[in-house]
Amino acid sequence: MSSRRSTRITEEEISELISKLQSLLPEGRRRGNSRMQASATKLLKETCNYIKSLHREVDDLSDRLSDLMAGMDNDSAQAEIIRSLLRS
Amino acid sequence: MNHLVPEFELDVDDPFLVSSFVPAPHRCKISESALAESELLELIWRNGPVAQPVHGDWIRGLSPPPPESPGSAALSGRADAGLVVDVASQLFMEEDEMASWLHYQIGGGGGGDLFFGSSPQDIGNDGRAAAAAAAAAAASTAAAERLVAAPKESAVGSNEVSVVEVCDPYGVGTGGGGGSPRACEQALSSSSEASSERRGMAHADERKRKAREGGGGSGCHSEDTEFRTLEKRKDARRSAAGRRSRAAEVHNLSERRRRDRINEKMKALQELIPRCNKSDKASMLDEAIGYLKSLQSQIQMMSAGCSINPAMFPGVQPYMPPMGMGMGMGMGMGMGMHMGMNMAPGMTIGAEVGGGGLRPPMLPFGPLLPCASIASPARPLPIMPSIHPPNVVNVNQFRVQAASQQALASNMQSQYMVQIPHVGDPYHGFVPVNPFQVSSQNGVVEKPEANKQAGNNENIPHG
Repeated sequence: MSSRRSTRITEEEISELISKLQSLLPEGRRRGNSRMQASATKLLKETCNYIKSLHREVDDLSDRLSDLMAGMDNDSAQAEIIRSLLRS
Repeated sequence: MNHLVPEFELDVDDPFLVSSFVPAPHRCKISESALAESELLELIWRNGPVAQPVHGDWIRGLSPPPPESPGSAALSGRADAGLVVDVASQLFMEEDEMASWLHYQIGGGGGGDLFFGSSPQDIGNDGRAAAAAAAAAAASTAAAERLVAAPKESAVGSNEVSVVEVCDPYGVGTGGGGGSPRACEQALSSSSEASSERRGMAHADERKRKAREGGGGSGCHSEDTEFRTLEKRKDARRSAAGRRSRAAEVHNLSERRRRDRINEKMKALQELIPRCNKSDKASMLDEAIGYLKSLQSQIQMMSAGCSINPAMFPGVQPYMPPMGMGMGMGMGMGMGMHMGMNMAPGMTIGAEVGGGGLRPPMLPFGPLLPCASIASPARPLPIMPSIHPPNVVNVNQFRVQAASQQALASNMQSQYMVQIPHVGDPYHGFVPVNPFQVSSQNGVVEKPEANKQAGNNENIPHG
């Protein structure tokens, strides 16, 4: 019984997390969140892809920032900012 | 054949019927059955190569009935079938083995003209039937019937199979009785219905015979009915149960496959998320969500930082990523509250600046705005500078950041620093970024790209 309850709770959590994840994903949710077909598989796949794309973007931005850094005084506040950005 | 003429009147539609008709009460006559068998033999023989002389006492006694009886002439056609049927019924009444054999025979029919009129299957069945008959004759017991039944069961013919199935249980199960012939007849009739007119006629004849026979043995009759229904039910149940179990198996398999796929994706996700040591689905999803958010804010920050230097990016256009559209709305709302409070000074700028396309009420720095999501309309650059104000940093504070918001307010850098340790245990690179700030040229150039990328990524799997 307790296991069942815990399972159920987990199920709810999972569904909640899945919906959260879905909201994060930049899918074409135009029709007012009509995308109810949150197939877990698809969602996970999309999340993986999205994370990968975000990674790529971060890399790209990092490159840009470092290029930027090269073009500015290293002592400027901007440089500092950029450095901090790059550090993350 | 003549002596086979039933006592009662038969529809003499088919000569063979008349000839082959077996009066119920008088069925138990070996001679008659022998005759019937001979007819059967004849049928088999007629049917073609399949024909094999059935060995058995009752068979030996038989001799191809001369075409004397009207039925014999018609034997070729339905007559055969009818004969077979009749014989079958006769045999059934008398000997189980024979009945079973007949069943097969009937099922097998003999040639297309036979009872089932159908087809090469019949011929094949005839052969089988012959063999079955031989076997039945040899065994002369229920066992024989079963034997015969076994090969029959393997028979492929659709009609025949059904017939066999139906008849078989009778042959095997019933030791005697009218049940089998009834079942056979029923099966036969059903099969014949499916097939052709001829069959239908034979069928009708059978039915008539059935009726007669039924009259003959009332007790048997009821049993027969029961048997028949039982048979039907058994068949239905067998097939239904088989179908159901198969469907359940298939379902289980697909479920397993689906679960495997999901687990595989979870593993991939786990690999993507830095420092994720959880194997629990829920916690992993939680981490994934947090990581995603941190990644988004980080990107926003970085792009904002990039756009801080307009010199580097010519044509930096004020570009404010759309407010967390509906996406981050829910989540962002909470954030927005914080942000609103902290960002008031800086935010207003952005809010107003972005007022054009943005909805000021929305968090101008939709913390949850996926940076890559939407190419927002150009926004005034001034928003960028907001990155400096510590408030900006707060914007993207997620739940973790909420705590660090105050710290962030102190110093931009320290904000970052603070945030980093906060958030960043898992996502050390996490830096809250003002989504608006992300705009700038980066937003224009990258967001759309990222958008496309993301869109492509998403679309591809969808596609």
